[in-house]
Parts: sequence; C-alpha cells; structure tokens
Amino acid sequence: MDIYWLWLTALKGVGPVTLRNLVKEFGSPQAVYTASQEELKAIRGLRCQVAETILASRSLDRAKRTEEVMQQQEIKLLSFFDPLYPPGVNDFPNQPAVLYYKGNLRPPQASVGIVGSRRCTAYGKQVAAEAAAFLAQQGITVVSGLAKGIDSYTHTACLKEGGYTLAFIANGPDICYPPEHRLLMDEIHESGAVISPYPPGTRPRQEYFPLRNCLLSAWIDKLLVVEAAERSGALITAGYAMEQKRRVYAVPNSIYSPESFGTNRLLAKGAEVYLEPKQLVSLVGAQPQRQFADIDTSVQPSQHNITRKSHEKEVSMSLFSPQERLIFERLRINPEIPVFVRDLLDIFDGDSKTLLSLLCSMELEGKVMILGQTVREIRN
Amino acid sequence: MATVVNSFALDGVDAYSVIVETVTLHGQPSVNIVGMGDTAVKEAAHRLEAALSCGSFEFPRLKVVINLAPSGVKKSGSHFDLAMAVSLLHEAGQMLAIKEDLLEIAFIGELSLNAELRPVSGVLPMAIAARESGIKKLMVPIENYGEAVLVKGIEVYAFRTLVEVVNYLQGLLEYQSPVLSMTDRAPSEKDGLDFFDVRGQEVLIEYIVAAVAGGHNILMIGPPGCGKSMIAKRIPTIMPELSEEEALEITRIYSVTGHLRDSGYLIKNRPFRSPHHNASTNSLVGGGSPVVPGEISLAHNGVLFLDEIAEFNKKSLDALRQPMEDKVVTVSRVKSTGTFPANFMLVSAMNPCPCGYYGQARCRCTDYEVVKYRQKLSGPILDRIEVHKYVQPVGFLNLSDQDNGPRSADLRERVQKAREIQQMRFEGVPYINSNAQMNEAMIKEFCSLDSESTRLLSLAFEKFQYSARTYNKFLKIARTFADLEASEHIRKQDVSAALMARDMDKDRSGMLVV
Repeated sequence: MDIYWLWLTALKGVGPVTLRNLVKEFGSPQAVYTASQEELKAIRGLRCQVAETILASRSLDRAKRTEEVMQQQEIKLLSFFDPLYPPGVNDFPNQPAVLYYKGNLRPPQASVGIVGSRRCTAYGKQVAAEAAAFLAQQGITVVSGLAKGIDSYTHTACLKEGGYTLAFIANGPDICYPPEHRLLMDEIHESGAVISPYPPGTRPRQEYFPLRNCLLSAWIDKLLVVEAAERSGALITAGYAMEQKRRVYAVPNSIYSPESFGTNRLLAKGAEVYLEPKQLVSLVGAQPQRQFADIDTSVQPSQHNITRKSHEKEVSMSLFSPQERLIFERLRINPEIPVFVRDLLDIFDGDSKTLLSLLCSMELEGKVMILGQTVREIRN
Repeated sequence: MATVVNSFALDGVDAYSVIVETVTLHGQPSVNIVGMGDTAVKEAAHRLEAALSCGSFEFPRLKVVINLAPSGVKKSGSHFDLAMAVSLLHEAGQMLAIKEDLLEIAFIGELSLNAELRPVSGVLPMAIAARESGIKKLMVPIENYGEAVLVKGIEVYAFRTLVEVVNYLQGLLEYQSPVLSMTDRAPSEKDGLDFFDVRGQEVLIEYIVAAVAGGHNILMIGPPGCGKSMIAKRIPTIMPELSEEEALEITRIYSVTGHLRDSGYLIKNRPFRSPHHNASTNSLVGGGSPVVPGEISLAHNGVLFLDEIAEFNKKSLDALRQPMEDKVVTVSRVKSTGTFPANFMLVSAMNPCPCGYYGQARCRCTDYEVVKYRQKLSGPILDRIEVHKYVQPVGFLNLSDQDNGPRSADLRERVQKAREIQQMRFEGVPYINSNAQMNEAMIKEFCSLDSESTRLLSLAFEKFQYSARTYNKFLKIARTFADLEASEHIRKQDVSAALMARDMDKDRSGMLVV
C-alpha cells in the first residue's frame, strides 16, 4: 500500500493539494495508479499536464527503492488518511499529505510546541527546560524541532521527565542533524517520534526549514517561543502559528538582549506574555478542569511560593555557622557575579584546606555551586 | 695485516662497540667502506680523502677497504670518520703508534674537509659503552668534551683537529685538557621561572602541588588567556631536584637525539616539552628507522605539556596510554627495536567548550556541543588523568594589587616531603613509588576512610552521579592531600579537597543531555 503513496508523492507536478484531491476522488493511491485516461480526465480541476504525467510514469522502481530503505531504517509512512494524522493539520490543504516518521506515534492529543534560538542563553535554557518538564508531567505532548539550543533542551527535559515528545525535522528521518544529537534522536525514537515531510535520504537545506516550521505549528495547540533573534526560524514558526490561529506565547526578556529581539517583538505584535508553565496547560483540551483558569488566580500561588521560600531561607540562616554566614554575605554582595574562592581565603586567615572543606560540604548540601575556582549561591 | 681501532654506534639510547678495520691492498685505487653503513658512512670516503690531503698527509694510492664490525648490523652517522682516519693513517704507515696502544683507545668524531673535528650526537651513551667495554681512553671533538667527561672512570681527550690527534698518538704533542667553564652554559629559558609570578591562582596551585607530589597527571580546563601555559611551564620548578642518576638518564636521551650537540653538558633542569597539537604519533612516542626517541622520552623525568589536548589526533593520544602505565615505551620496527624510558608527568590543557568561554555569559555553546567537544578526549586517557581543574581568568583589574603567588622553592619543599612519605610507604614494592601508581589492593590498604569521610563521599556520588571508577581516583588524591600535611590517616578535609579535583565529572552531571 505504502508503495503507491511513495509513487504518488514523487510525481512531478503533484503537490499536496492535488494529491489530496486525487486520493479523495479515487479512494486510494493504488486506484490513482490504475486509473485510466478517461477516469483522470473526468476529475475536475486536474490539469492535463498532471494527468499525462500520471499516465506516463507508471514505474514503481523508485518507490520500491525508497520503501526498502524505509524498511531497513524502520521508517514508517504517515498519510493524511491515517487516523494518526491530526485532523487539525488536515484543515490546511497545503500541509504535506504524506509524512515520514520513525518512533512510536500516538493518536493525536493535546500538544504544545516549544521553539527558540539555536544559540540560546542560560536563561532560555532554564525556561525551556522548566516548561518542557512541566508539560511532560501533565502528560501533554511536547513538540519541537531537534535543532541545537532551545529545541534540544526541550526534548531532553521532556524525556528526562518521562514525557512524550515529537521532533519535526527538515531532512530525511534517517539523517541526524546536527550530528551531536544522535543519542537524543535515538531516545526520541524510543519514547516519541521524529517526523519529517521529506523522504529518507534528504539532506537538510535552508529552504526546507519553512515547510517543517509550518507543519510543526499546524500540529500543535499552543506555541511557546523562548528566545528568538531578529531573523530566526522560531519567528517564522510563530508567524505560521499565528496564521493558523494557534495561541502563541513569548518569553519576555531584556530589550537589549539580542537573543530576545524576536520574542519581544512578538509580544508587541500581540503574542501572550509567558510567565509560568501553567499557562500552557490551561486551555489545552487534555486538562478540562483547568480550562478556565484565570490569569490572576494562577499567578498568586507562585507569589506565595516565593515568599514562603525566602522566609525559609531567613530561618535557616540562623542555623549557619558564623563562617558560613560570612561566606553567604560575600556571595550576596552581587549575586550575578560569582566570587573567587581565593577571595574568601581571608575569612579563614588563608587556610585553604578548611575553606575548601567547608565549601565542599556546603555544595553537597546544595547551598552553593562551585565551578572551578568560583562560587555562587544557589537560590531556589 | 689490517689495523684495528675502536669506535661506537648507537642503538636507541644505548651504544655498542664497533671495530673499525682498515686494510690497504694492491689494486685499483679506491675506497670501500663495508659493514652496512648508511649514506653518511659511505660518504666518509670523500671526507677522508679531503681531510687527509688537507692535513698534510698523503692518501694512499691503493685499494682501501674499511670494515665496520659487526658487519651484519646497520650503522649510521658520521662519527666513525675519526676512527677511520686514524686506522687508515696507521695502516698506510704515516702514523707511528703501537698497535696495542691503539686498542685501548676509542675514537668518536666527524671530520671536516679541512681536517677539523666536528661535534656529533650520542657521545654520552658511547662513553658509557666505552667504559663498560674496558676501554681506557676516549678521543672526542672538543665540543663534546663536556658531555663525555660526565662518565666517570674513563680518560677523555678532546681535540680540535685530526693533526692534533695524530701528533698526540705519536707522542709529539703534550695533551692539555680543556678547561670547562660553567659560564659557557647556555642560559636555559627555564631559569627565572617561578610560581611567584602567578597571581590570583592560589587554589589551583594547591592542586598542582598535590598532582606533582602524588605523581598524578593533571588537566587544566580554561578559556584562552587564563594562564594555563604560564602555570604549566612552572611545574618543573616545583618537582624534586634531579638526582645524578636521573640527570644522566635525561642527558643520555638528549645526547642521542642531537639536542646536546652544541651545549654538551649535563642537563640539570627537569625537561619541559610542549609539542604542538599537530604532532604525529611517531614524533610523540618515538619511531623512524633507525628508531629515535619521541617527545614522551624527551620529557622523561619531567613534564609533557599537551596544550589544546582536545585538538590532538585521537590515535596519537591513545598511543600514550601504554607508556603512561609502564613508564617505558618500546618502539618496534621491522629491522630495529628501541626501548626508551618515558616516565613523565602529563600536564594538559584544553578549552571547556568549542568557543572557549564556557560558564561565562558570552558563551552560546549548547550542552550537546560541549559534551561532544569533551568526548574528543577518549575515556582511557581521561582515566589516567586524575586531576581535572578549571582555571578561571583572574580579574584583570585586581591583578596589580594582588599578592604574589607562593615561591616555587617553598612548594618544592612540600612536594619533597610528601614524596618522602610515599617512598617510605612503597619501600620494597617494585615499580611503585607514588600514590598515583597504587593498585586496587594498595588502595584498600592505605586509603581507609573514617565514617564521616565515607558519608561525604557517598553524598557526593549521589549528588553528582560519579561513575564507579572515579571512586579510586578520589581516594588516591585524598591520600596525596593527607601526605602533603603528613597526616597518617585520610581526614574529611582531604576527601573534600579531592572531591573538588574532578571539575569535569561534576560538570557532566549538570548538563541537560540524554
């Protein structure tokens, strides 16, 4: 059966719209293959040229070769007829009628896309990872693009929480791009799926990415844009999502941060301000009880959280030894800038052994983080 | 009857006796050098001809045959020239000396066309071989004098020209030994290096001291320009003083590779070698034909510094594994085999990520890229490097008002003390003289922990998800930290200091990767 799908998609001049029409008229791609000239001519809106192409190219050799590769690589075909193909995507006839995927595809369910910059900051990483982990816990599909940066953190954080994640890529599903994501891709195959509009063997090219972005945005219910530069793929995805009437959330950040030009602009254009992961859940069908959660009520508990935590800190401060307290005072002068270990030596009159010993136990207790020769406080 | 004189040939870092036999026969005038010599040996014929005529001798118009025995072994080098010239002059009757006297002398040296003697490499091992084969006198070019007299128990005569040698052998010249002036010694670039100049890295220096004291290898990870190379260059200054024996071992290797040709003295500083990262495997471990020692042997008893270790060819690095364990390397070629000492401390440096600024705000490398970059170092090599420390750039502004670092001499004293403790501990155990070399059983015996330290260690393993094989490393380093303070037992502070010696492993647990 698959072979006729492969044959049909490979035909010149048969785009997704024509393909959908043809298959709907004949009932199956096999019927298109065996259709006579008269039958094809009878179809309204089918150009003569296309009909001739169909009649002229009856060879299945190429399709057979692709099918063999797919069997070897365990790549499966997903046609728009398939129940696994989300109806939401079928609303847009421009969307590819045939997809290639590897992994375990589940029936369509509530899903949220998280996209962002390849060259992201630590802030972006934190936001993406937090959101993905939260969605995974809620049992919502996390969708992203397997690119460097935000995409990879999204997938990874979701997998670590045991969630279900889909990756949309702009090359054949047999190719790993970027190559350092090999292990990540294998993990996604295990507990999710890697989906591509391109047949196996297709190498990634710049012009392939918009189609993948468009497919991604059509697949999801909501989109979170974490960080995006002025001209970036994430912005293109957001643009498609807005066209397709998906809800788009953008993460606010400094107006001077080059990584956030795009997201700040999205906010100006009317994207919703992302403040916490709960927002992504509230209106997704999977969680009906949260459907009408109000912004006001959803913000309050977390505020409460913060005050409670800082209160805890005050209490625990009194439990610290005087030297620990001195260290914390130093670390808090400017929490953004890590403090050099050597600059703390004077607290111990230059006794580095005792200082290191104390810092080590503080690190193990999760109070501070030591990176090389710098220390910073961990606040949570 | 042929005239027989002694010379030597090199085989790796050792020398063996070669007998130079010369005979003049009636026949067409010609010079034939037999005994499997290479091009340099074959060309000696022309040098001989020119040098003899220049030195107011007459080249015999006869068929000359020179044999280098043992004839079945390949020989190379130009240092047979002097021995050939002396034996030829004696055979031709132009030099009157008693044959038996000649047998007590060995000749080493290259001839110039003007009959001057030129320095050659490998004089030290040849002198050692000469002493061992019972030869009493050794004649060398004057430039090699300093090197040859390092060997006690043999008389060394140094000459400038062939005529001087011949005159001395005929008793026409009174020999005056040259005066060795220590000022001749070329100032080495290591003179004047001191940890005193390293500012603001006190904590890192503590770990360097521990690494040197325990014989651990070290990896410094840091952004460009943070002082990794500066620190590495100073590591030899805190290693214990070279013993006479060690110095001779080093000098011997340097003699063979031709590094001594001009300076020709005993090497007193520990070597510091820093090959560039495009070094071939053979240049690192040794190779070629005939086999010559590589960088790891040149770093024997010293430091091998591999800057940008991640950029080295993976195969070249993996070739270091076996020498790092055995402290010697055996290089085998079809026709020759060489065994060279290679007891070095590996000091390496690399950037933390592809852009080099990991941990700083400007770094945009993803965790996957960072992990992939670090995987360029294979597991077995990382396994042999016990101490991984991050180096952070010191704030440029407070560089000026900071105190200077500790003095190398003080650090060396601490190292020496810790080494003495280790020597006592491993007394009678062959091949093991530092904590780094401890095997499983020894770790059990010498690295017992109290309950508090065990708790600390297990807490760290839980938090940072260290692999099981790092466990022994922590114990070894902790042992060294305890030795530095002459503590018999490993205390809690030693364990916590050791826990902070594995920055890379700790970092791995914080990365968001599958």
